Amino acid sequence: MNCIEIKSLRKIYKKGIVGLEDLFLNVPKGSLFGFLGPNGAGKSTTINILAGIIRRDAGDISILGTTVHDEDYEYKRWIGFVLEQPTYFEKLTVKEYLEFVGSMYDLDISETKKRTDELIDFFALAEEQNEWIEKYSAGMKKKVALAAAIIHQPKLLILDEPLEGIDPVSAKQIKDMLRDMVNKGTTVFMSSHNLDTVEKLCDEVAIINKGKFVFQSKTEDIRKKVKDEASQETYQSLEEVFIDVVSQDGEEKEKKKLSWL
Amino acid sequence: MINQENLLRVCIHVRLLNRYTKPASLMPLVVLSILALKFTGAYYAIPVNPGISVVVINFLVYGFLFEDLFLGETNMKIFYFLYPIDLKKFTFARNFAGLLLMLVSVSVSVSLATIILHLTLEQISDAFLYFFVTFFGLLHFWNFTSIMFSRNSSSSKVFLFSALEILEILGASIPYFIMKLLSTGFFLCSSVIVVLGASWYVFSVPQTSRMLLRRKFDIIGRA
Repeated sequence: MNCIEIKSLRKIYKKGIVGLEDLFLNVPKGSLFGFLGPNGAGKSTTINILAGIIRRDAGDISILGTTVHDEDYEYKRWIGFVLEQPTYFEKLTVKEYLEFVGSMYDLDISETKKRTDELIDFFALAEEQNEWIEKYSAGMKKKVALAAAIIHQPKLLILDEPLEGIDPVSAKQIKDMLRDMVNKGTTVFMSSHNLDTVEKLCDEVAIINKGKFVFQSKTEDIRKKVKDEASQETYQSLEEVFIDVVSQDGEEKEKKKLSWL
Repeated sequence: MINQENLLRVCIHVRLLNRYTKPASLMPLVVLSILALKFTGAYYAIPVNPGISVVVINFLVYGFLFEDLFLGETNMKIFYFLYPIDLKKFTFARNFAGLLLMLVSVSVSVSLATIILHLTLEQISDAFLYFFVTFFGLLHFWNFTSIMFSRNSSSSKVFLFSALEILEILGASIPYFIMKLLSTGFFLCSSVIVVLGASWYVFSVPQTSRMLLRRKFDIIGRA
């Protein structure tokens, strides 16, 4: 069963810029799913449409078995989001912010406070908990956003570059947490540019390019996929697959060089 | 209606409004206006209760902030629609926080005016009656202007919005002045305040939340 089903999703921005063109995507329930693509491929557009903050021009979306329309918001009760812009009220402390988000999900106050304390401890934000979020580094803001995304124990996590700017120790802890959540039945849908991390962490990956779906596979099968029919050579890494599939439409593959270096 | 969750929401909105709009920073303007009333002798010349003039000063000074009651920065606009917010509860908490902050400011400035302009007890109670009767009407205007014209668009038309604000205050004051013409009875005034408060809760809060949802993509401005 799929947790997210996207059919024929289309988004054209002003001046005719194509954000998404007939995108199809199925995200299996209970998987840690990597959503990849080069800059401007449409990853953030897809995530923002799933979050209901960008209007789609066409297409159907089903999340957790429910068809989602642009105006719907009840479906978000079971989803946690981390978007490109991670936090929204920066003149709050992390505690105030998490309590505010907890109240948005109608969490019981005592439970919200308990989870807030645990989250602050888990994300190592205790030292700065009395500072306003606006004083935090980009990585710390990302941690606050992640904490806000899981405070209500979501069934689906949609994350846009969740580990960007986060130090290696915390990143390891977050990756372990995501794996634990998936083991307990949560689905995680994350975009990233870090292909090594995605290959090690995710169960399945999809690649989009120029707003279109181009590749999907279980990560364990990537190294079994044949790269060259004639020699029966297989791919050695996700990076190799990525470079191959995003440059298949006639783009130059040779290494570019700068004239002055 | 009043439970721990709602109180927490109101507290957070008081903090947010206080930190983002910084109403305390405008207090010197209110004090200066009261002093101007005193030293220009305007409070002798104006044939109304000077306490009401003090409340009008508050509406003029803070109204400009509260015309952007909901929105403000782009990030906040995204927040309203990213989370499964019950926009009715949200509107209620935001409006109630506005009421509390305004009440603090009016209380401080009426106290100052009592010292500077020698207000009588009747003038003070009348000023508060005027505040409550007018505030609920103004809230409706502020909710509307905040959603229809966010700060980004209104800042370029400051003069137009200042004029609109004066009209809003005049419009919202009409029930009070009609009430004063009919009777000065405390019971009638209190009843009117209850009716206005109830109509704000029954009509304005749901209408505002529906308007927020309907104009979601225009507000986010990214569609």
